[in-house]
Amino acid sequence: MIAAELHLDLQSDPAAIAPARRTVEEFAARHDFGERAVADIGLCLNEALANIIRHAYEGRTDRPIALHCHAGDDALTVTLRDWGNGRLPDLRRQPPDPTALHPGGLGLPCLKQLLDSLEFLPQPDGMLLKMIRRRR
Amino acid sequence: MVLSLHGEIDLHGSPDLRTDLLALLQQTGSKKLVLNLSKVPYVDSSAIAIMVECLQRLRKIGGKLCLVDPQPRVKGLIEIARLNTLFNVVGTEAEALAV
Repeated sequence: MIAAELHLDLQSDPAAIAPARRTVEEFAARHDFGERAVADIGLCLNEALANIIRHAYEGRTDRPIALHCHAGDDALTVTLRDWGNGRLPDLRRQPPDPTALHPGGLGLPCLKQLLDSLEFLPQPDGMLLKMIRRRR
Repeated sequence: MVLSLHGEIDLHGSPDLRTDLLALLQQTGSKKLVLNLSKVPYVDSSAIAIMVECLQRLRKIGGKLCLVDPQPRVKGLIEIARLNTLFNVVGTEAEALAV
């Protein structure tokens, strides 16, 4: 039986994003998530890791990130724990107006658009991000 | 100016790509940038931000940015960012040069 859990200990290095994304995409595909869902999960993981590196760890490349995935009957749950500055992003912020040509600010709108559930759970020493993508 | 990009572009490679593209635009004074994306299977939002910044620079001098043959995952992100109407997205370099 294929394990329905995956755990990765990562460093806050941009070079770690692509290998982690591929590992989680392969995990999702092995658990029968469709091509679209796999792509959405990979992109959301990429954006979430990039946000942790850039904002929670303010560019430091040597800090820990714990990644956990659980493939359930209905959904894939990905949690990311960091020990950064613990600042909550503004989830009410609207995506940038494309005609204003403002580079950046696209990561969070991607997460909000592609995921079924997105929760930032503040911890005493950082943040726990919980992302859920249903199979649909 | 026509450039062909190769490989995945995420936060690992995007800072160098940004530096190179903006320097090329500055040095050449080119008014049209054609990015052939047919060999780019994946980008994240940091790559899209670079394209937006290039378009910003080009528009200031009356220029254009054309994206050639973006792959499905790349096209998907451009659509999520609602930039598909701002970028000239075409199928071939010849089409891009005719825009």
